[in-house]
Amino acid sequence: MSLKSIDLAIDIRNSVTVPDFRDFHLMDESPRLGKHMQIIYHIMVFYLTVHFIWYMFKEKKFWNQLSAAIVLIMFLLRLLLIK
Amino acid sequence: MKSHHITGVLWTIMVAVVCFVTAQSFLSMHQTEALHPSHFVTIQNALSAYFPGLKDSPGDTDVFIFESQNQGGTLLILGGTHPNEPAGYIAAILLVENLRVKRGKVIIIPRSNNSGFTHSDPQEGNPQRFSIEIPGGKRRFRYGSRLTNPIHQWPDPVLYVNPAGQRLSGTESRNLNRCYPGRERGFLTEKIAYGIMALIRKEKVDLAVDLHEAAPEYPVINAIVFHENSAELAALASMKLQTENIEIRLEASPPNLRGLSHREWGDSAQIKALLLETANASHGRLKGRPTPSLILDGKDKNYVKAAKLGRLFVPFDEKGIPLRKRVSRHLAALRALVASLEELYPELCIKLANIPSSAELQKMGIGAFLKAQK
Repeated sequence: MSLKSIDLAIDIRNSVTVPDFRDFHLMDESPRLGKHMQIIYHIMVFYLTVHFIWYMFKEKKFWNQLSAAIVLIMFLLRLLLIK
Repeated sequence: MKSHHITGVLWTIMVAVVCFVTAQSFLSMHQTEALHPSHFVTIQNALSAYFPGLKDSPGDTDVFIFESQNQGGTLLILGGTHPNEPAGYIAAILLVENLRVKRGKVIIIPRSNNSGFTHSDPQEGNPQRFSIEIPGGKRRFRYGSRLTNPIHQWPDPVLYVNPAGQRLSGTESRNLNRCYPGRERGFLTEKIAYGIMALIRKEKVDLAVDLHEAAPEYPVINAIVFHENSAELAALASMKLQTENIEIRLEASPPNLRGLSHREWGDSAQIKALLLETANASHGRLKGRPTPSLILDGKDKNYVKAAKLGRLFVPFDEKGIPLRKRVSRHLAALRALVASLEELYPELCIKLANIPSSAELQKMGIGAFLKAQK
């Protein structure tokens, strides 16, 4: 890279206005958005939990049933928010 | 009933049993260990008394106030900002259970991020607890996570702009030591920081110290990290520690690294603010198997090898760096800071008693100064 192009890069960088993130109010909205996300998350986990239980009873192969049961443990703990 | 329906029922019972047993283990981490404060504690409060927004939330935590009859300065000590740095909160608990203040006022928050104590860092394999031998038994303590439990604060933003304006990665929104000076209606971790700021202002704190630990390969280690308004205080304390053969570095806090406790306490509340670091092998990336004995004894052959290769910032040999040594460093540094405060600002004099000396801790262990579980 030549010296001229470095100078040009510095000029471009200096000309960019960096926003003052102290005025960045999106963060004030994040906790409220998080509550909505939590509801969506719960619906998704609930749907998949029901799906795994259904699969466990419908599936005829022993090992496939066991696989569904193992996955179900994690989904149930997530659904109950146990961590 | 068909055979696969019978096995389905059996698997359902198995899932229920495993979930029950696992849930007991996870939920036990949410139980707060009882502390047995010294009878010199004058007020036991909750952080929500200073910021009601924390009431009945997992971020609320105990605040212990030791007030003497004699006027002097006010010292705030924080442990458990990072619940995976045990020397910080064990030193604070040791003070809560032993301290006597003869002049001035001392406020101790041993579990600053209470939520961080309720879970462990995923994929680290850290033990849930470690035990300290006390006369006639054991006391168990949680080994938590650096961050707030995602059960209590979720989801993390992709980009976190903290209340001081610093841009950080999303997970840092759950790191109490990046969330100062806090937000009244922000994330839970920001609310905790806001509560601590409210306490500092209401109690008119003069000096605040945040107790931490770091990995032996981390450059800021065995150090006093100081806000520029506390440079003289830190330098004097460092000299006092050297006379006790305790080597401690002085690290100036970068003014552009925002959101850290001492940075914002100094900038926003204009108090003297410092952060103390000791070397904890169980916290590092080079460690071997994470076990309770690694936390307590601090012995790790990987770190011995790393020290021989010159990769560490602290001396590390086969003896390791045990918890009692790390806690005694914190207590020695606190004593030195309080003595230096008195020398530099006589009107802010704080007189402390009943703090175990480094020699006593080395000889008798931490457990000798902890009370038995009732």
